[in-house]
Amino acid sequence: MLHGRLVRLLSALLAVGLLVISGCSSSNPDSSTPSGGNTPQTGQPSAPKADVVLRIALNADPPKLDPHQSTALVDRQVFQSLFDKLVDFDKDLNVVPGLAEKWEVSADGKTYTFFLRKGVKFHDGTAFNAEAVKYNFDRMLDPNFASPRKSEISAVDKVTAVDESTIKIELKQPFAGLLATLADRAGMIVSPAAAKAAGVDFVNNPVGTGPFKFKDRLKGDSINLVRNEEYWQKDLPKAAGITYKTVTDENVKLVNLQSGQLDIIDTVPAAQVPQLKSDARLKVVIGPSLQYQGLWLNTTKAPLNNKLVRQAIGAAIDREALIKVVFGEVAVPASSPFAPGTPANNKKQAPARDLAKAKKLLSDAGQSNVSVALKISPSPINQQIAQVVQNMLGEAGIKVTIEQEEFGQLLDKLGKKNFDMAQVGWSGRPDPDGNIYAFIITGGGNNYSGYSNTKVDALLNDARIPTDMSKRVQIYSEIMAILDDEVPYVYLWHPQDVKGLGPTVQGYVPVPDGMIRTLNLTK
Amino acid sequence: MLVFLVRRVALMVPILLLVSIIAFSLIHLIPGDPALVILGPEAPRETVEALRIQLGLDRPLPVQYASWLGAAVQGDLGRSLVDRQPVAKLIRQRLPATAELAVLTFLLSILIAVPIGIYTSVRRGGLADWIGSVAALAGQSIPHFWLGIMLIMLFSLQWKLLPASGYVPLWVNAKANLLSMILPAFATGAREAAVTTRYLRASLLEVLKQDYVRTARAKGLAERVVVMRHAVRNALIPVITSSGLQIAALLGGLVITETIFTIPGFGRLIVDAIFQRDIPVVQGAVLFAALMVMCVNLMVDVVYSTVDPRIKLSGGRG
Repeated sequence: MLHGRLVRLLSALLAVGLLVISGCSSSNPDSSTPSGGNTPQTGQPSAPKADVVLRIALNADPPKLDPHQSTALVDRQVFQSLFDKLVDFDKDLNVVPGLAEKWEVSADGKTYTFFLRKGVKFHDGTAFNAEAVKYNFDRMLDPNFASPRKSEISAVDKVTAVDESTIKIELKQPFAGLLATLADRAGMIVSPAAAKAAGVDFVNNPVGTGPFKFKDRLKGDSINLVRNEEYWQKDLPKAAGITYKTVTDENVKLVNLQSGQLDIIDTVPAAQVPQLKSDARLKVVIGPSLQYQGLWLNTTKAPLNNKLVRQAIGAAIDREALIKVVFGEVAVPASSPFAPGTPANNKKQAPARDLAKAKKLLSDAGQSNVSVALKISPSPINQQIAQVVQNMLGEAGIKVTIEQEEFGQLLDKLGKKNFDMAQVGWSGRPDPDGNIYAFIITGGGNNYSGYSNTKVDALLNDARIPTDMSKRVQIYSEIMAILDDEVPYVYLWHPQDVKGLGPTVQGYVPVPDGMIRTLNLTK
Repeated sequence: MLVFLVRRVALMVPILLLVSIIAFSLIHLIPGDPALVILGPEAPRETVEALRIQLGLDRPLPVQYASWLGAAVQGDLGRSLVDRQPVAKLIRQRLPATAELAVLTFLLSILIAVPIGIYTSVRRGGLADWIGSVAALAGQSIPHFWLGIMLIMLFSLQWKLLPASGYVPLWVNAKANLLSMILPAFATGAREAAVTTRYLRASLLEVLKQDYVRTARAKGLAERVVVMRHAVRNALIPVITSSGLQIAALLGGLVITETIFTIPGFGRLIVDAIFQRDIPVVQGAVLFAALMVMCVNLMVDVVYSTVDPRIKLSGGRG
């Protein structure tokens, strides 16, 4: 009641205000009185046009537009438009040709030969060829360039341009994840001429072979791309341009999609899905993703250095209930870092809650009143998750205090092992190695739990070798059996990939890596 | 007057120095290694280490500050740690939107506040006064972000009168620019108008009780002349003070409005830079914001003496 009255009062006030404004602006020759007819947004769908510019919202400003310097997830969205990769994924995560038309792998798995597409040009007009690919690998491996890609392709020993359109990559040891790696940033080919000319400033002037060319950007606000008229795929891309707009606030993103200022919004939070669905003009696309989320447990510090206490935490959490409360339909329970639908996911049911077992484990551990701090980065969803976890663990007799830390601080403390329990997940990679290796291996770059097990280390290395996926899957199952027992990380859920589309957007195909392919997009 | 100006400008130097030291210390007091924050959780550790050295973050803090200061006094504010863009360029890119929004907000607030403030104080105790006071209280109490979202819901979604976002620079497309600025200006202007209304009303009520006003009335001057020519001018002094403070706050503090209406402004530049631990950008932007606040204060002092000749600008005021 009160709310209704307030709104009415407010509307009246606003109406008065608008009259004042329009009264003053009509005297200004440069402006016009606001009216329904001449405003930029419309709600009606229209036929596809040749000159459409699609506006895609990103939830953060992409820091570095150089695929060989980039470390932020959000950069990868923009790269889909600017760069082509040697190979790509289709919607079922099969590796398909990209800049390489086909490839061969030697029997020992140590030599990859790529046959490159001919007649492809970079946005600056220079030719794409085997020399250019070789330059890209040299660039990533150059110690002075400090590329984050260097560790991804650390298995590469030698790259040779066999002829104009053939490139041979020799590995130090077999690395089964290579193709998947080359379907991401390490496989994106930048123009050697432009990279040499721009130096470190290439991040602000990216030049690739992709369907769209870089036009300009306003840091923190927007990135504008225009169609590459000489793109090697005939009659593509369909749109005349793409504008990536940084919109950090979820509500702002949604209202701008509804009012027509945005065409596609990324990472829609669960709470907005019903709202999006209730707006008949908008489309919601919910697809699988490669992500996982859960809890890091610090194995180097009491009380969680005790395996039984870690097991108790795993047993006390009801994944189904957590998902129902917080995510509704936009998450599925997890039992491993491997998302459903990917080969290494063994389709094992996520463990059910067992409160009695949790209590018994705690008493076996001789710890009657365990108290731990749960660190989260501040967001309404994270708070909700933390509260649910707090309640569930509380019922088992584990007292949880929730500590919010700004993300930079949180990472700092995780790196220094200055925490008990932390809710931090992973954006996911198509190859299983990218979801487990650095997180679990002793001293790994993302091994926040401080976990160390020589047997697991050996298995993780073994799993990198076979080119036959079924053999690798076996090894990963062995690893997961050990991790289920030792619980350095409690795998809780796999978020689904949720995108919101405006009324007229056409040509969007979800790929589980969450990246929006802009080639066929139009409206 | 000239002595006053010179002394005030000279005083800015130590203040700016102090501000830069405080800003530098604060950003370093926040936990979180800039190299790690810039590269994010998905970066390999050796890359983080390499970046730290490349950015000079491995040097002692006083050395880092001194080298920044050395360049800054020569007019070089350095480059962003994130993408190596010059800080001066980033400030230049972001300032027009915020300045425009601040000016529009200010004009709007004056446009609303002055008539309402005068009317309600003249008709003190009447229905108009009561409505005006309630509206002013509401305007002051309603948070920007809520009002902003409500305005978008009503004007963009419900009535489709104005765009929810879509800022373009004034010189690129003036019409689209002004259309996109109406809602943001109102979202912040409502509060500023409320504050100014209350100041003006209180101040004018005080002045209207004074002897010279009674004298003016006794002379037989029309009530309109008494209020407009004799009372309002004297009542404006506290209003100018509060407006000056408001403009200063607006220039640095529009971050919420900028976020809601996705305006690429100065406030968002500072906040983003703090979250990214982009030290040179924080340093440069804070310094610039401090400079703007001081300039506005100086202007307010000059305006005082124009409005009220009894206030003399000698060097003594600080």
